[in-house]
Amino acid sequence: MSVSLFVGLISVIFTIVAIYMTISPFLSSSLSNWRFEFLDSEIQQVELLSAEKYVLVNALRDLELEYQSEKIVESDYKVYRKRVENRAIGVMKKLDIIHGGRGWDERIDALLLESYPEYFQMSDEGEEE
Amino acid sequence: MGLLGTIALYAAMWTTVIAISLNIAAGRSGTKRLVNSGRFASFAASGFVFTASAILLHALLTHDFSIQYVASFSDKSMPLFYLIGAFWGGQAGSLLFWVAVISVTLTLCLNANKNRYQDLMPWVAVTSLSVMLGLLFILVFVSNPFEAFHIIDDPTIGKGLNPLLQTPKMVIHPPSLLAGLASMTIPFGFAIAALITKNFSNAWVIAARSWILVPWFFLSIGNMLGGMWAYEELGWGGYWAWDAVENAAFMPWMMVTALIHSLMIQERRSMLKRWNVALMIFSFLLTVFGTYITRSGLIQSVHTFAQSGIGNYFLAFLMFFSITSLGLFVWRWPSMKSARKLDSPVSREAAFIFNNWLFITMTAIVFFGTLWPRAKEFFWDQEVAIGPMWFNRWMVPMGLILLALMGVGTAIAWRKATMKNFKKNFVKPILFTLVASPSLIWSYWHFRGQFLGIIPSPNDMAYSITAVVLIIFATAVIFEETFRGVNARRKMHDETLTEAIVRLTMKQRRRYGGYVIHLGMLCAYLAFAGNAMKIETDVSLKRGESVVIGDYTLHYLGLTERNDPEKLLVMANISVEQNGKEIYKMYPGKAKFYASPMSPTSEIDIKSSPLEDLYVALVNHDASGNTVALKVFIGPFTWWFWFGGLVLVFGTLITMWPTRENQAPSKNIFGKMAKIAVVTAVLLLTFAPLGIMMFEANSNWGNAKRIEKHMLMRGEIAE
Repeated sequence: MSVSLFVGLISVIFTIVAIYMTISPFLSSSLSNWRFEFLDSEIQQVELLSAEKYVLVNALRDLELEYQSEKIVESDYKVYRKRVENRAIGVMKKLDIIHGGRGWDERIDALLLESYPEYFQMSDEGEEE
Repeated sequence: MGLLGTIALYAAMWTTVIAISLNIAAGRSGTKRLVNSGRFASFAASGFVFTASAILLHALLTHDFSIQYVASFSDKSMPLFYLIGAFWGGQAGSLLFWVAVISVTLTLCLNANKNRYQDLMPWVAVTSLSVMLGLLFILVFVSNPFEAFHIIDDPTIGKGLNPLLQTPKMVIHPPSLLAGLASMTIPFGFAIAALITKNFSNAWVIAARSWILVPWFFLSIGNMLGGMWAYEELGWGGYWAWDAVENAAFMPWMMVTALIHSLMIQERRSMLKRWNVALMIFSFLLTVFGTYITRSGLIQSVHTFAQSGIGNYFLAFLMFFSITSLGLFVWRWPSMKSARKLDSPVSREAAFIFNNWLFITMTAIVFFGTLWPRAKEFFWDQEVAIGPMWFNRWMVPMGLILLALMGVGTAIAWRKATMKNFKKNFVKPILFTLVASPSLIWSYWHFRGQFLGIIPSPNDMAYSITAVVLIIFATAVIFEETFRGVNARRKMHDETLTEAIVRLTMKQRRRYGGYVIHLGMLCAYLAFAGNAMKIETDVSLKRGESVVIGDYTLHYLGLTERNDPEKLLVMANISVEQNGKEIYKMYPGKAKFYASPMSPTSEIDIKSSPLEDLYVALVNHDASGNTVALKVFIGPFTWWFWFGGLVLVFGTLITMWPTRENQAPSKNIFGKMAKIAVVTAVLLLTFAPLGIMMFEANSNWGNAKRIEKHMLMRGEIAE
């Protein structure tokens, strides 16, 4: 009986916290969220490329194991490894462009300026003060 | 209490509507704030479902008979174990349990991916919440587990759980199966999310694949425990009868098995996108279809106790999700075109594709066999019966091809197999098979088989010998593969044998977990092969008489009757001898519950060993107890079916165990506690079937003595 009461109590607390958290994003200042909103499309690209990288690294690992355990012949191994490596290099280059920080802030600022010029006005006012 | 439960259900329903709206807005706008808010709204909806579940559990444990459900499915004499089982023992409770499982899996899935896949997750939530909404609608308006009695007819005692369900296995089997069916919602959610966002990338595969193993894991346990229940309770000596409801749970299992293999090809080769999305959709639709045929009474089954009037709601549910998902699928057809093709038709990829076609064909056969009698009756007004023989005629040869593929697919190289590596990979396993198969078959026949005194039919013998040969080949391939992998690792990293085995398994969990799963399946195949030598006999014995079956001699010593206010227990006392020595006593019995006198339960006694099972069921007896009719089976290798199930579940755990990359660090104590709770629950569930089996085999829980002991403990009968 006490177990079911405990489960019930935990469920109620969980529900109340979840309801509060559902509302809370709308209570905070929207301006403070803008910068993060713009990261989303980049995050998506990084996610896609990271998944691609993860799969290619695993493919290389498998390929190495198959070669070492003599499941595939050397000529095939070399061809497949080159193929996977080339794809992996391509993915890493793309990841480096996004993830390496080059042009990162400038791109976000440009997007912010285009969509929310008031963000810069507020930032400028803040600096003047 | 009932009112609180109903309020929680209403709150869950309306919060689900809000959560769906927020997640649709999040999915369309991609705004992080909405994504977060939608996620927490989904948690809130789940929280209300958990609250409703806790209230029902509390009502059952405190015997609150003012609630109709509690009065209908429990009574004060039921032990805690069965009181918990009563939660899903009735229709409304099982529906609530279903929603609770979706809530748990959705909460875990959203939490695990809170910082990832932000384009996909809102749509996964929308799909899962829509399924929840449909079920909550039925719970609120049609089948409310909190419906109360009026004051006038408020009962003080309950009716108790269906006697057939009062076995330890039935407390675990339905929730496992329901969990398997319910957790199919998440992969379905991923399929719909991919169709909406047009994201069929490797990120989607990685996100979806671990959630596909969850339903597979639960369906495997559920099907196995269902087989165990049928074997030990129904008294027909087998664990699989191609019963409609068994088929309903087996079809999604086959679909998901196919999907697990084909997703590997998409991940490696970016192929089969359409195929995988279709498999995810159909696996889910089959779970709803299975529920529809079980609940509607459309098909005659041993599960008639599950029938109810909500079948039509499930039909509407099935139609809605079929039209929506298949419509989306057709709409996105061009976007799912795969860029790559197979390097070679002689490769592991090709073997996997062939395995997929086999699984789909087998699913189609089971689907046809399950529905055809009903269709024939409906359209042509003709009655036909499709029994186990029909299913076996198709499924046994196809199962053997699948078994052969299990060996070939494991040994063959990815991408392209050449003659040179074909020789390298296959010669040793084939040589081992050629030596080991005749030796093992001859040894079994010489040391054991011939003493059973049965010559199988040529057909059965051919199938069994083929199965054994293929089992040995596939086992040899798995060990050869593992041995080579370990050797390669030792060469590369200069490790000891143990280090190499452990690290190889940890690094390549999916590969070696998969091999362990295959070993489990091979054990199950051994049990199927043993059926060729199965003995089934009906005997009638007078007190003091004996009968010889195989090399066992069964003496009937007498009948014991026990009576308590709820039931009459009749128990035959049988001494079993082998080679002139008593090896054990057996107590098959029958219990007649006065609440349901027309459906007496069989208390079958089974002595199980890896070599064979001796299975005795009491069919009938005369009034004086001088004569009894018994059904006796000797089932070679049946034990391996249950053992194989355990190995399979263990392998699934290895495969599912999160890799370092997938593990989200738990920073707070609640996160750690949640992780420990999930791991403990999974481990308990994994070992539950074997635990129950061992407990029953080594105690009186597997025969009529368990009921007698229960009566004695409660002081309802004297020693």
